[in-house]
Amino acid sequence: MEAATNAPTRATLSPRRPVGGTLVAAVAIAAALAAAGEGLARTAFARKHLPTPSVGCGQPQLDAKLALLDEIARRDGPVEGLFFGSSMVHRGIDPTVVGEVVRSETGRELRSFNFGLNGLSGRGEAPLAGIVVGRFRPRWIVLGVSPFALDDDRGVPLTERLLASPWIRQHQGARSLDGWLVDHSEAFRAWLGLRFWFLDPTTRADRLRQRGLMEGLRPDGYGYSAPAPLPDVDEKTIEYFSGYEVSPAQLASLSGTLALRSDLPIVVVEIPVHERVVGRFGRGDAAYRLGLDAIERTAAAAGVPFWRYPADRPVPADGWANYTHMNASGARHYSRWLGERLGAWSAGRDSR
Amino acid sequence: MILTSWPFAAFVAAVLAAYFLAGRRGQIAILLAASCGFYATWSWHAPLVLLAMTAANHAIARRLWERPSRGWIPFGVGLNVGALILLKYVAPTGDDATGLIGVLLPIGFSYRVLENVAFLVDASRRQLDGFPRLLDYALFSSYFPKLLSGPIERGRAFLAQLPRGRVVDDAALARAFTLIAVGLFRKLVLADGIRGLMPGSLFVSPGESPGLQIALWLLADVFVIYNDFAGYTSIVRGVSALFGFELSRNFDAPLLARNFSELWTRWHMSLSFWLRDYVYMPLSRALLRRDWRPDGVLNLVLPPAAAMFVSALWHGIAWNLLAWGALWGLFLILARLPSLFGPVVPPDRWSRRRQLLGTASVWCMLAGSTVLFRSDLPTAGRVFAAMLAPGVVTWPLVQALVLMGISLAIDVVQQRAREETVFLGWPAWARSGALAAVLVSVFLATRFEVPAPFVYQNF
Repeated sequence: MEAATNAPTRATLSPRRPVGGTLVAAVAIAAALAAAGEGLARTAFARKHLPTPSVGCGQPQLDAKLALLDEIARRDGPVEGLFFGSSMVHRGIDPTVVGEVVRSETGRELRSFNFGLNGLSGRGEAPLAGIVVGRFRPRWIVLGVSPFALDDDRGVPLTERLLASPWIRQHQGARSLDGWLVDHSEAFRAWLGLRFWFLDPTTRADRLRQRGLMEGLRPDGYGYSAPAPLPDVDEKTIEYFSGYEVSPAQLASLSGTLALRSDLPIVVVEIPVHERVVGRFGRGDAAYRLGLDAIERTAAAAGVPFWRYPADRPVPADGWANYTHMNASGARHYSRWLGERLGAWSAGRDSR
Repeated sequence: MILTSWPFAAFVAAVLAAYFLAGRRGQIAILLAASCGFYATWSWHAPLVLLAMTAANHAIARRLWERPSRGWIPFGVGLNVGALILLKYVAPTGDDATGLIGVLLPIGFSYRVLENVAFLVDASRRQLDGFPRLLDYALFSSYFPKLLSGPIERGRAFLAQLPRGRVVDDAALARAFTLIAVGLFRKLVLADGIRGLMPGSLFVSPGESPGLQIALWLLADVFVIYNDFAGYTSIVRGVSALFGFELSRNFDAPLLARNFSELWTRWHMSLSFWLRDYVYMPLSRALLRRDWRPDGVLNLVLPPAAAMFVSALWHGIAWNLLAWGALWGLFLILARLPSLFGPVVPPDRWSRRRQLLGTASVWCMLAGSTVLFRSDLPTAGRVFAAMLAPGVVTWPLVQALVLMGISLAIDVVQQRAREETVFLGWPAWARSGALAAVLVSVFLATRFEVPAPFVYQNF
């Protein structure tokens, strides 16, 4: 038998005093702290002493290059041009040498920046280029490409991190508080930078590897790498490169990047590789040339010029860090050629 | 619907609004409907399974209440335990047909089973304040704040709150929100923070973090489990307090315990007390009825061993969990051993040094046993072997130790005041500052992160 005395009574909400005072005060304190933090993060002192601010993609090289561009823009105004692409651009294009050549050929000062990123593939390039162009307003960009950089298996980790990051997604329409904060709050970017270097759960080995990616980074974004003797092309290397293939998806992504031509002039340039591995690409020498042809067709379809690297100006034998990346000596050689072409191109544009 | 998500906060706000606008009967119905709806967000069939078990248990309990019968208790317990074994252990490993049955397992079912068994036993012993209506019992069974991972409530304690006037005044609101804030801090900042710092290879390739490192990481894992579960419990107790219902405490500064006996009364208390009341004490009384001495060896060994065996089975049927339960049983037995030789001095009267050593020994026991809780036996062996190799303290470990220090500081403050919501008694500036620190740290901890699921949701 159920006891009648067990019948439930009604619960009532009856605060005797106004509630929430502590919460209101706490929110006010938190807001004051946030404002103070934002102010502090924008000072030269903070920029000098705190780790590089981060956009939260887990790629400190990207953060470092964004910070360098910010510094240049603050000090001297926006750069005229950006060199964009993968690590092959990062190590292969020396903006200082390009500028010297343009000055000597045309008398014009050219301020440019190397925005090559280790591990950047076509899929990650398109959204990132759009954001960088929108933020730093260069007058032109040069996309350095190679059939070696258009394989689907290259740069997967960075690409996945970029495409998943709230910052990139914010600019692709998937708005979020995190993405908004990265765009608008220097304090938040400073926090992300602190978190990556001091609080991030990545292993020590990964953090060391990330530091290694930034060795030799110069203020103009160029990644200096010293000459080193190359080993003979061994079976492992042959097998490694023979699996490469220019992916239609990567070419489509390249088209996506080239769509920026509606905002500013773009040039696509070939980044050369060591002659010993040209013939090892995919199914042989023809595969490499066919890859270049595919790049040229993609550029032509977008109405963008494609500059092939001339065969009669090979990068010197001591100009390679490895078989797909130039070292400082090779970059100097290549950048002279690029400077000549850019000088003529920009003169032609300026005269119109 | 995750407890630390904005949708859950919106859900609670909506239910609260409807609840306080409703009349007496309406409030129970609203909570019951909301609980079924909440459960359905995890799987659509979960409320159906829950309500079916509720109806069955209510009917059996009524039979026991009205005409106590020895046969109905084993039947009732068997029904609940059998359903759990079938849905959780047998069906998922079977063929397609049985696998389909396993899909019916609602989240948190293990907790429901313990509550149902306790209710049946209490009904048979007439330890209830009157037999509840089906509606009231259904609310107890399905009450959404405790659905996922407890606390394991007793029917008599929960149902006794229904006839009482439940006034949610400003003090109750302050207490509720303080519990929620502390819970969010423990879960999102401390537990997830330490967990994020732990090497992913700890229970896979333990050799990568040898020596002192691995020992400290194991201790850190104890802090993760503690803050994760204590955080969850604090949040659900706070949410429940908004509706005027008090749920049981699950933790009482367990990492300040000075021996294993004391730990057992402070860690996952709702489970410990359930085991005490429905396994340990009945077995102890049975042994006494057979003229065994209360301080005899058999009474010293059998009840804790049985309680820990049941605890291990409840967590899961796996060799590593059985080994974990056996280890805890051994620790309990060893803690009680001194009672064989004379009166035992309670820890409060120990010297400060002995108390600190006692706490350190509890930490060692917890850290050692957590290996078995987290990994299979072969991996556990590799972890223990790795502890013998030399190693260094790394920067992530230092950060984890800082977070563990904060966790201990909270426990010390709460224990000294013997009150979880001690912070409410601080001066206004300190209260506001502490809450601001909680808000900022929880906000920063949850940027760019998806909070990890609560550890005890797996049971």
